[in-house]
This record gives sequence, structure tokens and C-alpha cells, in this order.
Amino acid sequence: MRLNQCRIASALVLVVVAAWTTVAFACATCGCSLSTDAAMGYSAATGWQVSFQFDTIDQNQLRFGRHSVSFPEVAQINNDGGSQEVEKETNNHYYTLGVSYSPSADWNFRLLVPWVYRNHTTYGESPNPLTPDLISGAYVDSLGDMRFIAGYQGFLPTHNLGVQVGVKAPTGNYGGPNADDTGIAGRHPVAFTYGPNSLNPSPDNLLDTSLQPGTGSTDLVLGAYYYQAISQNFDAFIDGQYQFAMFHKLDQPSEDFRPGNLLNVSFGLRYEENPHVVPQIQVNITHKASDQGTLADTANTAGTVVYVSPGVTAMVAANTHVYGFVQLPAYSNLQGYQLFPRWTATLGISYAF
Amino acid sequence: MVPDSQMSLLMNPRTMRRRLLRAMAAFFLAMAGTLAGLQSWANDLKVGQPAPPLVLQTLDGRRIATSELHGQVIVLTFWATWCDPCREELPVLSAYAQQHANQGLQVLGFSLDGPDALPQVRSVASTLHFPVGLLGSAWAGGYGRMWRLPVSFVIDRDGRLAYNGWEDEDPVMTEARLHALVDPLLR
Repeated sequence: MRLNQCRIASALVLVVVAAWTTVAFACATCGCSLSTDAAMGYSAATGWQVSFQFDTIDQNQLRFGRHSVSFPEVAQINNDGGSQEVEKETNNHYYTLGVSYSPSADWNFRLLVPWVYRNHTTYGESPNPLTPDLISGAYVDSLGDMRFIAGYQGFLPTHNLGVQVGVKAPTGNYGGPNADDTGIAGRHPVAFTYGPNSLNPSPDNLLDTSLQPGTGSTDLVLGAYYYQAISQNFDAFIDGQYQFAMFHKLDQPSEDFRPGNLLNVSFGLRYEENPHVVPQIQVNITHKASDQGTLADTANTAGTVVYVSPGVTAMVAANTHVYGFVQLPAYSNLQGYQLFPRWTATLGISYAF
Repeated sequence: MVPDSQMSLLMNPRTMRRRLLRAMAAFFLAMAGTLAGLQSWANDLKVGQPAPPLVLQTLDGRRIATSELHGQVIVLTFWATWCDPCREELPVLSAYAQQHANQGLQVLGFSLDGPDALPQVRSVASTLHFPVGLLGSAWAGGYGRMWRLPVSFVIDRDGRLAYNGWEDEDPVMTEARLHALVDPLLR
């Protein structure tokens, strides 16, 4: 049967906004899963674009499986003769500069440069009672792992089906103790700056490898997206990205670290009644496999998380858009004990020229 | 024990978080206010009411405003080169426009193609007996977002909307439909 109409999507014609990508950072199964592709609307516009995005993820809740657990509950494991780190909080702020170029409606090339600010505190493997003097803290404040993503959306004349191929480069500092625990493997890994852990001799004073600003790995990023007008005022979209480490610099016996593979799938609706203000809601599903290697916390880095993410994109000046989203966890099934956020937030601005 | 100097640093994220929450709340309130204050778009289209104004920037550089065509019957048609039903409809519209031009009929063609498809748009437009231009956006003012194609609207000689393509389940214009919809307006 021949269709007697063609459905299109608003991004078809010169919606001058970004085609970002899901930004995944070097953290456990904590979030960072917002689809900023969808947030800003997929673009068929040509030319340059610069953007700046701020993400905040405060992991201040310990969870195990599908449930939250109290710090004393986890510390009790140590009272009972076990060996379990009692992490207190990891507060992450990411500042990401994006530069993209679209030579045609079919192609887009994007460079994402993140700056990572992370404040991590832990009680270590302390038993109860947990007291403030047991807290060790470390700060990360440096360049993260940069990403370069190429996108192609020339399969359909409406440009609403696209694929992405990209690379995450090991530009952020990374590392941990070396194989015989006498020195440092990697590049300028951050150490604890206060508390009991900071008093340990190097390299035992180092922050966990998975909490460093970079992973030391070169990851391949594969993605795809599709969006479609489904009514006068609504677009539906779905996109997915799979990221896995092809090479990892920490690859020597007993000083190896490979970040777990990461799968992000997002779908949602954009309300397009007015081109200047576009509210939307996303559902973001993330599955992360365990980090691997001697320097990895294999038991506490895997999981599946679902966020519901309301937000809005607004045109505030010619070729200039701002957007804001809040991610609210709707489901989490975490392996081991992991710090998890109660919410995350994203603010961004983009300018096309 | 956390040193005081470090403690002050520890406070910063919480302060920042409070500020961020306030900023986010302000942002969403501002957006909600903006949204609430927006004029409605396609939902306000009503047959018999004054038709929203629209301007066609033609491929040859002319500017044709519906507001300046008072006294004529206007057919606004939205199409794209990749839309097969549109490509079948356009020759019908073109023939009808040619037949009834001396009765005060003006057909305006808005293409939703991007600038990269301009050569194809020009090629199609060269076969049509009505002016064509690129819409340049998916939104056509009071006619709303062009979310499916083809779609057409008809404005009577008094500037009132006589046909709303959004209300039509089968929006493709045929010769019979044009006669039924537009002929009475031309009398």
C-alpha cells in the first residue's frame, strides 16, 4: 500500500542546534546518560557550532542491588571480618566544550573536551562506628577524556536516521599503583589529599583508578538514532550508543585496568508546538559491565540504571540555544556497593554559525 | 580528621549545589512562564476565521505575502522533493492554478527541502505554474509545524480560512477535490 503522506521531523529543516552525543564519564554506573543529541534536536544544518555543557552528579547514596543501604550497614561487613570499602560521596562536575562542523546535511564531526571536577570521600574499609576522622578525601580538577564523534545521517532524505562512530581518547590523567606496589603506573594519577588514606606512602595514597579523570583507554563509540514526528506537536526519538575499550594503556600484568563496556539507550518525546521552547522528556537506560583488571573494583562497578529526564530547550537569541535537564533515577540494579545520585542535572548552551 | 582548610573546600560543592538547584528552578520557571505565554499555533486554526498571514520568499527573490492578496482565493501547499505523494499532487495543483488564474486564484508552494536540495527544488518548480520558495523552517507561523506532507490550506477572498489541511485524513489534493473545495470560492 502506498502511503499518501510523508511524516517529517522538525530537525529536517534548519533547526540550528547541536547533534551532541551521550556523554559518558569515568564513573561507576552513576548516570551521565542523558541524550544531548535528543536534548538539542538532531540537526541537518551545515556549518560550525560551539557548545558548552555543565553536568552535575552528586553520588551521595550507597546502593546495593536495587536498594539503598546505610553507611553503617556496609561498615558492619568490616566489623564481621569482611573487607568492604565504605565510600561516602563522589560529587562530580563536568564542564564540556563542544566544537562541531557539518560540511553537509549528511555529515557531522564533533569534538568534545571535558573538564572534570570530582570531590571524592571515603571511610575506607573502616568498621563501625564511622566517625569523621576516618574520612579521606581527594580532588580531581583536570582535563578528562576527549571524544571525537563522526555522524552520518544521509540514509533518508529527511535525515532522521543516523549512525555515529567515534573514539574516546585517553587524554585525562589515569593510573594506580604499579605491579609490585612500589611506584605509580599511568600518568599523574590523583592521590588523596586528606584523611587516613593521604597518610599512606605512595602509591597506597592514590585515588581509585576508576575515579581518576581518565581511564587510560582508547574506546570505540558506536551509535545510532532515529526520530519521527508522530503528531502535530510531538516528535518521538530513540538513540543508542555502545562504548568499549579497544586499547588500554594500563595493560601490564598486575597493573591493568580496562573500563567496563557501556551501553546507553534513550527514547522520549519532544513537544514541538513552538520552535523557540521545546520541552521534552527522556528515558535513559544505561548498562555498564564491570571494570576489569587488577586496578579495577570489579565487584562494585557494574549495573543497570534507568533515569526519567524532563527538560527543556529554548532559543534565547539568533542561533543560540540553551537547555536544561534533570535526571531522576527510576530504577537501578547495581552490582556490589556503589555510590549513586538521587538526581543529576545538565545545563548547556550552543551557538551555531 | 579533615583539616579546616579542606573542610571549607568540602562545603563548596554543597553551596554550589544549592545555587545550581536555585538556577535550575529559575530556569524551569522561566521556561514554563514562556511556554504558558506563548501564542497557540496550529491549534488556533479554524475554518471561517481570519487565516494567519504567511510570506513566500520565492526562488527568484520575490516576496509574496498572503496579506497582500486580499480579494483572491489562495491555496497554500507544502511539499518536498522527496515526498512522492507531493510530487503526484503538484502537477494537479499546477494545472488547476493555470486554469483558474484569471478568476483570481493564487497558489503558493512552500518547499520543506533544505538549501542543499535547491537544484532539485528549482527543477520541480520549473514545471509548475505557481510560485515556489523554501519554507526555511518546519514551522509556518499560525499554520503550525509541518509534520506531515503534503498539506494544503485554502483562504477565501475575504481572507478567511476555507480549508484546513490538518483536519483532513487524506490530505492529497486531486482534481475532484480541488473542484469541490475551491470552485465554489472562485464564483
